[in-house]
Amino acid sequence: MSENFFIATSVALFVVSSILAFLLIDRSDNVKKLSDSLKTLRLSFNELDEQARLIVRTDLELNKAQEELDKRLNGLDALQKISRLISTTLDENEIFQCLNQPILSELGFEKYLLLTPDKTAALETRASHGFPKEGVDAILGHLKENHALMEALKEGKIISSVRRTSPEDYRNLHQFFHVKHFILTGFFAQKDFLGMIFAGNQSDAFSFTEGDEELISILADQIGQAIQNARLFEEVYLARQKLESTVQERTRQLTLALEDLKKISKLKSEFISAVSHELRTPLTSIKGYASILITGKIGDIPEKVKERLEKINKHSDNLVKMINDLLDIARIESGRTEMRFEKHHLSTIVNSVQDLLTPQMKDKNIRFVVQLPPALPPVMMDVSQAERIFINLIGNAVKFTPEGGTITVKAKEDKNKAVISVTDTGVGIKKEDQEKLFNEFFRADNEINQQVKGSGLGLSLAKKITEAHHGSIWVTSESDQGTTFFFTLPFDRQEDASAHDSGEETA
Amino acid sequence: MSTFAGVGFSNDLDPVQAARKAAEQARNNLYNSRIDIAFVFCTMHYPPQDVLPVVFEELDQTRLVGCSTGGILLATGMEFHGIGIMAVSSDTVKFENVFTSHIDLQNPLEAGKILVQQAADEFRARQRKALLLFTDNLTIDTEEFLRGLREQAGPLPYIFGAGSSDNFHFDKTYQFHQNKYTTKGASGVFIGSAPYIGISCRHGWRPLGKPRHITEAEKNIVVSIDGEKPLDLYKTYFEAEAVTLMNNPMGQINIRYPIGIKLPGPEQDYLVRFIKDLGKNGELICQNNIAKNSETHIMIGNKETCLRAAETAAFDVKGQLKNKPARLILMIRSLVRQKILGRAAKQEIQVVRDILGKEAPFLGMCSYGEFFTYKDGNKNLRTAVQNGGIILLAIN
Repeated sequence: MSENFFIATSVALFVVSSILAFLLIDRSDNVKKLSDSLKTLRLSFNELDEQARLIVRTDLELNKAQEELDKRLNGLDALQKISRLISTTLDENEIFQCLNQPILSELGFEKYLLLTPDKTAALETRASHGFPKEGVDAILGHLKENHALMEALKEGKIISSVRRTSPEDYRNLHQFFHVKHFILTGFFAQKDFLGMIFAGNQSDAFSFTEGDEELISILADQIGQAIQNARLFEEVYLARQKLESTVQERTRQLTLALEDLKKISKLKSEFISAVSHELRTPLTSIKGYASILITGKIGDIPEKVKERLEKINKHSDNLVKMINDLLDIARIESGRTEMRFEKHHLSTIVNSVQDLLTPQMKDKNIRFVVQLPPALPPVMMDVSQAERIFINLIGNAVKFTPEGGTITVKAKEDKNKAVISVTDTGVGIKKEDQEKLFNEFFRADNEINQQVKGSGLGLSLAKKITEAHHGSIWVTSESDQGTTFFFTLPFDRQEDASAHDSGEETA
Repeated sequence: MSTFAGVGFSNDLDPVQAARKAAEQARNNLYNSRIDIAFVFCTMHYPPQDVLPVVFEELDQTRLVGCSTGGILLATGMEFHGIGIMAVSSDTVKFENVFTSHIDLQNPLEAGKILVQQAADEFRARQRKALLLFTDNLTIDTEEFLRGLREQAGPLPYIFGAGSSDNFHFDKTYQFHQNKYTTKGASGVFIGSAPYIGISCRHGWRPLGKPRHITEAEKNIVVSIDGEKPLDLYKTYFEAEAVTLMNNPMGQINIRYPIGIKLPGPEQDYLVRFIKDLGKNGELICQNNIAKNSETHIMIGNKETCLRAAETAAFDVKGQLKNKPARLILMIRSLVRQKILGRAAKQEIQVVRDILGKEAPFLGMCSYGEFFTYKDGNKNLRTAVQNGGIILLAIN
């Protein structure tokens, strides 16, 4: 029995041992598997870590580039905004007012100063941000003493914490401007130094790079350009103001002179009129008595006395004519001549004048040609006055045309007026005399005028009558090749306060 | 009437004019309703002694809370120069503001407790849903201060906020309370009774490489990682360039590849720690504290990951609002994040507004460090400081 128990116990023990051994082996397997998994996991972690290192290096480079790019883009955005702002004004003060806003902060600058030299070449503040007033005064004082710095700026150098060559170059500037990072440069118009711009940051978070230098440089260029434009505009504006002022003054002077001339002219006309009236009265007496003596009503007079009396009569007639012409000129000038405007065909007047002057033309065997278009409309004129134009012009043509010559009267339609010309084949008029031809009492210096007496009032009278008709008169001539006088007369009534017309048109 | 907000902004060069204009605009955009609270953010160009009295008077001496900032976030983008104000009027949401100064002279833990005790019992504690704070993270021990707050605040679900900032000078910042201001202090507001309130904090950095452990750390100094000098770890990734790149507190490595501390809890999130400087023996001097024995990674972040994080934060908030449209959106963004995002900074605002509602009044500020609340492994509420974060607050 005890043996069986021993065998049974042994078997049981064996079985339990086996089971335990089996379990142990199984656990060991699991532990081994877990250990292997852990090893694999650790390896994976290390591999991931390696990959992470590679990623990080690339990421770092990318981020550096991205940050620089972002900074540049922001800077350019702000620069564009500033540029647009300062280019919309041509007033220098307004430019600096724009720059005095915190807009330059958008470029990433905590502090900035814009200084320009005043008339005494001392620097004055035009825009500032981030500096207290005392600070600005101290800076201005320092810059006044720092000739080397000012020279460098005037030469166009950029002074900054980015490009320091030695600490001494910029240490003082750090202290005076109370910044760790700064850029200082001048702005110019062409090569003229207009001022300087300072930008600075205290925080290391916003240290400056070469990109910031470039930004400030571009900004300085734009400011320089804007100021130059503003100054040029002001120059032009002031010059224009001065010119306008001068023109106004000259105009005023001319107006006064014109008024004076008109007064003088009026006085002259009144004088002539008065004198002519005074002269005509005794002349009438002289002529009257001479005529009576010539007729022999008082008694017989010797032939020689009669001859002289006839000369007195003739010269008196000439004087009366001259006085009448002067009076006519004066009256027309002063508007005292009443013009009766009616429509008449030119042919009527030309024929009448031809009849009057035919004897003189026959004496000199002068051919008289009339070329008036049949369809030419009637012309608005005071017939008696207009006739005097023709008489003067054709009369002069007869006087100055040698024997066998030709006088031609033409007319043509030119819009709302008739242009009439009287052409002769006479001696012609010198260029220098043509300008003065229509002046009162002027007589051209030639052989015919030396021989034939005249008052020099005919052309002046013709001009006055033409102008009273709202026309114009002019001459073209070549010496020894003849002369053409042109004048215009309107087809229709012209508005004029001094002119009176008949109110009826005649064909 | 429900909850309304009006936003005003001005960058007038004259601080008083700017304050007046911004306040007027905020009031006008609120259609002259009663103002229950105003959030005020100013860049360093505007001295608070000139700005706050004007804003306080213009807004009928309402509750005023805010701080200085390196940038103001608007619906249209970011402004580095100006004053931003959001005036809020609500029949349903309660606000109660708190303030303390000279935390540097006190025990920060006690200061945090005292701040909570200060709050008048305007509405019962259990109705307080959140506490939004602006602190001076440059000078005070924020983690200790938050711990004190958390201990005193009790079951308050959400403590969040940010450090006031300046323009990257890391010099002096201000916290605003009514018409007063301080430095080295804290200013905040309890928010309660809001039917729906959405708060989220995300960052956008992801763990890189294999996990490691902080073997030795003292407050914000990492002495060793896996028994090695932290600088050596960075050298394995960046080689010799690591030293040059880490010399600048805003350098590429310091902010793009910070240290990340794994948070306990279900979310598997990380606390990001930017590197301020290198110690003589290769230690990392970080922006905020690091706990010894924490699991750690080098983190990697770029603008895409930041934008995705902003999107996630916005969806978080939208979920908390039960998909109802937001009545107002307040955004806090790390100033360093601004540097990472670059030209995409405006896009981040657009992403948030697209998700939470383009019509909702929007205002934000840039901060030096953000803090948020999370649940640890034991489901206890904890408040921690984050670097590089984005915080969204929306109310419906």
